[in-house]
Amino acid sequence: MESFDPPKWADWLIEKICPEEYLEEVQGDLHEAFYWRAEAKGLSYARRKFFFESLKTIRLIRFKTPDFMKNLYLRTLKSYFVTGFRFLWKTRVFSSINIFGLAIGIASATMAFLFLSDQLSYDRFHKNADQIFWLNGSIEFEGQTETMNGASYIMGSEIPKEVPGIIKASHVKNALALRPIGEDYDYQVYHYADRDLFDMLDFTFISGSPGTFENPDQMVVSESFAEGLSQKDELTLVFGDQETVFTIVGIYKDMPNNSTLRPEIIIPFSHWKTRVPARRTTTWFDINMNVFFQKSRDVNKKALEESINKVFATHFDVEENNAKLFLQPYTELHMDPSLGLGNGLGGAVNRQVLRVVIIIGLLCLLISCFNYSNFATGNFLSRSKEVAIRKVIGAHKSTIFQQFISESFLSTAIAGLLSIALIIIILPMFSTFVDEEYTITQLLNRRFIFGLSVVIILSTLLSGIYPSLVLSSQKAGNALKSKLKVGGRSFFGWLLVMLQVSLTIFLIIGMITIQRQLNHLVNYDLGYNDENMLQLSIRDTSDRRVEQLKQKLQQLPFVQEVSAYSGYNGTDFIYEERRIQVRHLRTDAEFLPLMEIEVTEGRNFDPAIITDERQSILVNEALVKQMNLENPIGMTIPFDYGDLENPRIVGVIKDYNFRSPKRTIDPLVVYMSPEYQYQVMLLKLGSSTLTEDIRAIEQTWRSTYPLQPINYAWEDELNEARMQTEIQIQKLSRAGSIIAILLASLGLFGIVGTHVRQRLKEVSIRKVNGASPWNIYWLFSRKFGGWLGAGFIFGAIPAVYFLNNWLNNYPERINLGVGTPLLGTFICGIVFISIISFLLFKVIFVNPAVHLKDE
Amino acid sequence: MEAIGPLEEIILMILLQNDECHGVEIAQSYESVMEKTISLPAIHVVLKRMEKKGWVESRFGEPTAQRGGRRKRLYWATPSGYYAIKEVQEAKTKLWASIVQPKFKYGII
Repeated sequence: MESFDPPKWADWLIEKICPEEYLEEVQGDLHEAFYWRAEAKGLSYARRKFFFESLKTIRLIRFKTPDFMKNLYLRTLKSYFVTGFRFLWKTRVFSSINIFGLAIGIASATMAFLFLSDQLSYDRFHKNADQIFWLNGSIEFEGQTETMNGASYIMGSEIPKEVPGIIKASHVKNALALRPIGEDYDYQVYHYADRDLFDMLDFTFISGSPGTFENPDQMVVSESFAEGLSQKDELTLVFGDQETVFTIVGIYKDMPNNSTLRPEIIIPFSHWKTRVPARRTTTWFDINMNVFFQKSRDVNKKALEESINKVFATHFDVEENNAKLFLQPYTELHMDPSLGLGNGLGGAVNRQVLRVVIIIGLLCLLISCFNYSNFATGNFLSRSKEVAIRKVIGAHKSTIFQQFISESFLSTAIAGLLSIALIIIILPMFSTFVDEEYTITQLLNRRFIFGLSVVIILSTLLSGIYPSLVLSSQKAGNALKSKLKVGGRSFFGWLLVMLQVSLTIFLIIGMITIQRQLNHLVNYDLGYNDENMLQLSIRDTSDRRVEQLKQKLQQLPFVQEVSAYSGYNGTDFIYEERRIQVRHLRTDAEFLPLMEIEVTEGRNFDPAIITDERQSILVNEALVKQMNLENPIGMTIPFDYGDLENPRIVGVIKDYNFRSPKRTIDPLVVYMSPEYQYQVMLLKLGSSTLTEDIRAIEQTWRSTYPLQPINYAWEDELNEARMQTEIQIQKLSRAGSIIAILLASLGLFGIVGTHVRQRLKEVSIRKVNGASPWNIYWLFSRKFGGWLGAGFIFGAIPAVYFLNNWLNNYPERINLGVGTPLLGTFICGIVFISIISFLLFKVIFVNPAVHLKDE
Repeated sequence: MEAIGPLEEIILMILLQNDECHGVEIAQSYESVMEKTISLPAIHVVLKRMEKKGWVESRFGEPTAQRGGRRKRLYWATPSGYYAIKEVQEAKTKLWASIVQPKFKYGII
């Protein structure tokens, strides 16, 4: 019997839809009608009818026009949007290309905005961020002011005691210890800090607390670090050969990604003090850590700096050293890579990368807005009659303007929605590009929505003003008499086209140059062969076992050569009353053959000659040039360093770049020494190195240094890593320029398309009168030739100017010449010609009657 | 005088035929007279509209089992409803009466 009842779900539908006041009557009637119909015409008919009637109860809801919609202006706006939608639909092919282009532009600009605002937001999330300062100082030396980029321990402990304006202070330093993991050891970075740091910065403890943070056996760790621990209350670290068991007294929430300071482990400074000689805590000029001060809100930074310097002067001979301390706002550290943040602070953003991202983002937006302008101007042509009739009826100029601005807002808003989808797709790629961790969820915040709205409103204005102006200012009579012509004639229209062409040329030249320069740097000949070269870091430079290791490594069959050297340290000496700045390298006789560096004059070191150990040096060509030496071999120079005393030059080596192609080659002195203090061991391996070979090297290492883990790197990979910023810029500029150039060609497509469409009748008449395809082709190309020429002037010349500035950052730079600008213009020309050909193809080969018919 | 719609006219006449009736009865009369189906919500909407205009009035009737225990709403025409339709119908009848023999200008149907 159940099945003879009205369907339950349709009943439910009625209850949902029908207004409460009519429910009883309506539902009752429908039920009654169901049985009546079931009897009269069958069950399935009754059911069907019941379902449709249940839907139709919606008619009983009284829809009222909301009060605000009664506002005349809003109703007009609504009508604008409706008209706009209809028009977009009518011209859907052009409109969708146009809106898609706009979406790409908006997506790029929004992403650039996201990146910029993320970089600017660094460290600003701390409650006291604007009150925290980083202590820095400068010292004058030989007429040159040098910034210390750090502070000493005593500065951080003595100054806050004597300066009343400082309410909180903490030292921050990081260090490396060994951490036992099962049988093995691994390096573990940890931070030292004082108790005040937890109050200065926004640390949230999820369990425990730092307490007084004075006990050297206690530590606090971050949440993510604690998760990886099997034992959550203690941790063993090895310092030198001494093992210390720390008690974990607190676990804090990890610092967010946009934080300069992101420690995993924090240990009180009392532990550091037990490990260093007492003088390190009392020497004023022992710059090896960071010091942070929090000032009270009622003193200003300048006054505080003055009182700090006053205190400083009482402890340190400021006059003689011309030393000065100053404060740097914590929030600005991330934006200043020149500080070379270290000792546990994260690196700063490279401004070049920031600049490239912003420029590309803005250019993409600009180009896509120009595209829209051009497209819309051409597209709106078909609406000139509509506008004219509106005007005849009595529409004001401003009304028409409003209409078209609202329509362009409509397109931009659709593009904005589309761009969100694009961003979601591109974001993971973009994140790897700029080396940040951006996720989709990060997008859904106020900052992003604000950014997107700003971009949308900006592009509405940028893209809508010109077509709206053109359409609103046309003469109604002309449009009705079909005398109208839009674009191309007015100064502003001409300017838009000009900008478009210039930007395209600018971008193409920029891209080519950046690629060329970066290729030049990446392929730059450093002056030595870094292939198959393995670098082992030696932590303990005083360890005598290094010679043992070297001999053992030499016995491995696949190792061709082994050498070791110290770092390239800097020093100076006086020669003929001139101060000569040099780098010096301590190494052995195997170094030059291993690196494949040529000795141009004299000879390499010879272990058989005893005097070579303390009396002989090699110099590079740069030093010979710097000292103006005519005949360097056999000369003694006053390079008194370590054991050396007036050493003799036995050979001149060819210049090689030991730092990075971004730097010039400094003068260099190479010497041997019986004191090993080597920091790096170099191994030259055969070309077919196997994983087993690396394992054999590891075993050899372990047999010499049982406690320390091996730390090795391939020399060519290290050299590549030095070029990381450049490679990042290269990737970004390549991707960005491709997008921008695509957009620009889209824009050119729009411009040329508009012109072709406007002259369809003219071209058809010419054809009827016997014009050849070439005549017609020439008719259009002529004009674009002029544009290309102007684009060369306004695009290529600024490009050359900016690029030359950028190239000057590099000692090893390419020459721009005229080739690249011409090539850029040429490529733009090719894009032009292919677009013109594509568009004219239809015009030239179609029956002219098609365009001449009026109806 | 407010305008009267075609469906309003028919439903009003059905109501004038009877003393009181509810939605389903109206639908049944409609279908038998007009020989086509109608959906109930359409009738309801018209009834509500005419109630607002003052042409019909209504009260709750008795519940029945078929209606799932829900009460009927019974409608009847008011005098103003009667006059509203009277004028239109008289005019239409007059017009209709004057058409003696249809003249088809463009041929015969």
